Amino acid sequence: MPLPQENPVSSSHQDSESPSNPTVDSPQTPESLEGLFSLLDDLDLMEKPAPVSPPPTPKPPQKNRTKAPPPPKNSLSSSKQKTKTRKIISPLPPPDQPKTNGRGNTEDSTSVSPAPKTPLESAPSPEGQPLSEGRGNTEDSTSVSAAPKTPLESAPSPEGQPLSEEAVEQLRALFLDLLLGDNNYPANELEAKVAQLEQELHSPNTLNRLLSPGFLQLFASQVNQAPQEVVQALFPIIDLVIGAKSHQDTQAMSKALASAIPGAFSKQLGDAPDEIIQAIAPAMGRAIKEQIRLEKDAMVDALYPVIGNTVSKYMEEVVSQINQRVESAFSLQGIYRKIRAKMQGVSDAELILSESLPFTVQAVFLIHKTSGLVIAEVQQEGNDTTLEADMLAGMLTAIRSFASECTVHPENTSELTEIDYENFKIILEVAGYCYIAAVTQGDPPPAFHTKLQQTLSAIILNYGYGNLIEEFNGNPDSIPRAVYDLLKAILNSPLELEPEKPTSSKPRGVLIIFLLLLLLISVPLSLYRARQHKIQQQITTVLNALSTTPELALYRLDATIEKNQLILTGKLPNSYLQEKAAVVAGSIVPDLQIDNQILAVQVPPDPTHIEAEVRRHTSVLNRIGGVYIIAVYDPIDNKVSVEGSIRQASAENIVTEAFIQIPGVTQVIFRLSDRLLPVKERIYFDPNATNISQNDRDNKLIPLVDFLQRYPYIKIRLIGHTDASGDEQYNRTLAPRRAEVVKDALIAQGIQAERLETKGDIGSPPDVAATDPFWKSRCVRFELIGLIETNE
Amino acid sequence: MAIISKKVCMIGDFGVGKTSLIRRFVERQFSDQYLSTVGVKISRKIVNLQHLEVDLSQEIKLLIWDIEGQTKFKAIASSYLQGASGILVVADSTRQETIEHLQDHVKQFVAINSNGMIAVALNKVDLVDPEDIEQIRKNMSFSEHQVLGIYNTSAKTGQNVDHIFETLAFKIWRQDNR
Ligand SMILES: Nc1nc2c(ncn2[C@@H]2O[C@H](COP(=O)(O)OP(=O)(O)OP(=O)(O)O)[C@@H](O)[C@H]2O)c(=O)[nH]1
Ligand SMILES: [Mg+2]
Repeated sequence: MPLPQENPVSSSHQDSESPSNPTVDSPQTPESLEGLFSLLDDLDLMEKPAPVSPPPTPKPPQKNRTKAPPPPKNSLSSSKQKTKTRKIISPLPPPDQPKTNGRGNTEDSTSVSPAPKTPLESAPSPEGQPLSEGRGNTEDSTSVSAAPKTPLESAPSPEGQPLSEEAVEQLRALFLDLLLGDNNYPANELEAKVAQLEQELHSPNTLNRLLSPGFLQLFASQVNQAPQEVVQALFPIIDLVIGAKSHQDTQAMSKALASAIPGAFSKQLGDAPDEIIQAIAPAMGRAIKEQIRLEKDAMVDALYPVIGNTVSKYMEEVVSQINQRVESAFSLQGIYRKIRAKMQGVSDAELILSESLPFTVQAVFLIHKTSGLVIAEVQQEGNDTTLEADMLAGMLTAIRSFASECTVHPENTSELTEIDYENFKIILEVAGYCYIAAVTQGDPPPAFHTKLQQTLSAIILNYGYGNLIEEFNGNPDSIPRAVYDLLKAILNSPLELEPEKPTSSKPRGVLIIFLLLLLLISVPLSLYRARQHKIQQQITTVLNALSTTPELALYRLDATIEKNQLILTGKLPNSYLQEKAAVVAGSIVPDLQIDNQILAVQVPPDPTHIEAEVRRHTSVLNRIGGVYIIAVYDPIDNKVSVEGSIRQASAENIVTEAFIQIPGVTQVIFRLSDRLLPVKERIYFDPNATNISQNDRDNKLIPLVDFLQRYPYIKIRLIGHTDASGDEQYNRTLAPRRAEVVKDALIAQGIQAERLETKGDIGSPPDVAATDPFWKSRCVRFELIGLIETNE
Repeated sequence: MAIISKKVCMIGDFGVGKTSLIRRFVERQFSDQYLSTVGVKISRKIVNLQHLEVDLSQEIKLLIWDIEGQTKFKAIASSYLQGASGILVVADSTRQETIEHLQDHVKQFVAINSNGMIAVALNKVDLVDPEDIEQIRKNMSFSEHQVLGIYNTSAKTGQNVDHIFETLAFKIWRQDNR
């Protein structure tokens, strides 16, 4: 049994360290044996006193010791047993001496480690004392590393039974056999090991290494058997441990705790949310305050999306509370209010609210949609604070961008329409290239929205020409006075609408009679009311959706609901928008049938027809002397933009007339200059070359890119030509290649590839004669080929 | 003559010093503290073009959009760049990757507004050896004709800060008035 333990010890040392030992083999056996015997006795005893408390144990070792010393020949030693034993061996291998002093040779410690581990595994159980106190004891147990294991392992401690007399005898015999019979195991080597092991045991490192596995095992079993006790034992010091550790190495501690904390936190939140809240609430408030102090804007930005929702939710609650109160009040005034509310199509709560907060407009801004620059502004005079128009406009624009960036569904083109800011409200009315922002106080009545829509339409229709608004360059002088006047009108008479549809401004007397009549039917009315309210809500959401669809935003559309049918009415400039309105409405109220009664005024045959007409007219007009124009049709705004040059002013009228009479065209816009049109330019190439000169890039391509960006609907064809010289086969690849090169250059400038078609032509351009110089044919020219397909 | 307003944007990676450059230009201040910008912050300053051309008494009101820097996880939102007449693309001359990203930022803007002016700032030059800066500049080039130039700037010392904003304003104005 001991063999397996022994082997590692002997194998590693035998060859290297004790070549001369075999000679001294026999004289030393008795001593070694003595040690062994004493050890066995020891073990025997150790088994016995196990139930007894540790202090008595020193007694048996005493006996052991007394027994052991007699056989050794040297009696001079008065020192401890440990040294004694060593001295016996020391004369022979002098190199051992330094080792004793040394703090355990590493080389050694590794080689021996398997053996001592075992005895020590069990050592801690009778408490650490034998280790520290009785050195003799340790020495013994290490001297033959295998020995202790045997009894401890084979004499299972659960029973606490001592080994029987015979068993001990047998073991004795076995050891004798082993030690005497086996020459491979010189005694002095054993002695050396004893010394060595002993040293190691005093080195904290080794101890640590030796102890830890057993300790863990023990600990685990203890935790298993009596967790409560372990807790009791650790309880008083655990906070000290944590405290000390955190003090010593905060980072490591944080790291250790970090992974556990989120889990713990969420667990606790589940188990006892209130406690957690109690614990962090005070700190939370302070943290937020501090963050606001540090960077207010960042905080506002971060909270912005939430705030909007919260405010509107809050308002909803307030409204419904008031509603309840009003519902129960059956005073005459209550009824009167009810009737008015009915007539205005709002709930009485809203009416009460708006009555209590008079509505005023503080400022109106016309803002450029993409840049956020203020195109025009008017503010209430006599205000102690004037609003910082630029900053407000910039921020509103940024918020709009942010909101559109955040919309989850890209097809859902949502639009920011209102911002509540404490007691201010900013109401936005958005069109294609600009929007109106009105800063208001109090609750805006629905008529105000209409007012904004009307004003915006008027501005765009009357002053939006010449790209004045689309290409607003930041110069306030470029904006006509009349635009300011229109904005002023919002400020001064926010609810006065254009006499488009007669509003309910009937004489008072008639109103009162009407009210009395209504009073008679007020009971069935209130039953009817609930249903109407729901319908009204549906209508409102439909109208909202329509007015936030960019193409429809400008037009006044109405919706009513009758027997599961949504009836749309109003006027739109073309059938394309007419259908679009039905689609938008249908997506909002999918369960209703749509009766699209919207009139498409001047119903255009088809945008592509108009486009063809425009081109036909253009080519006719270009035959007039001094007229070099191209005309581009914009199907969304139904306008024709004319670019190029017209020498005589009289010809301008002819051009206007020609286009405006095309059914479907509502506007003709001029953009004339003396320069050649970008599409009329040609890019020229050196013989056999396909590279574009820097000059052509700057002076022809860039203007062309501008042009294409101004008219995002048009498509062009790029036709590459070659001169008549050279191999025809070669020219066949060169011609389209030139067109491709130009196409790539345009794409690199941001023009979509779908808008560019290429073609090669090995002949000269139509207007270049065979007698003309060759360079005129080495070019790429451009042709307008029409509108790109706009889906829907 | 009326003051003309123009929108310009600051773009670049996070922490390159966009906010600091604006702060230096507008408030004449600098701080070592780093507070990352969230979303957009707009500042405003009127530039007199007389600084660049004596007989030009035009004033330009720059509305400077400080856009949160690009990080590994979040690109710069293109919609913020719309309507900008020019941009200042900023890199941190101590962080090579921010220099490498300049090209992407330039491309992003050109795709949105091919007419816009672009000024490139190699910021924090106070932290780098002049020779190293030379080396960095040697390895940089922009083919886009909208790029006005590469400027060594420092929000800390103020080097070239006014100059880069004023040049940008001037070029923007010139483009409208050619
Ligand atoms: N030495 C030095 N430090 C600078 C300079 N410019 C900015 N810093 C520092 O760099 C850090 C980041 O500057 P910010 O201006 O906040 O950077 P940012 O580009 O606005 O960062 P984001 O808003 O996160 O995109 C701050 O600690 C500044 O103090 C400079 O020119 N020199
Ligand atoms: Mg910043």
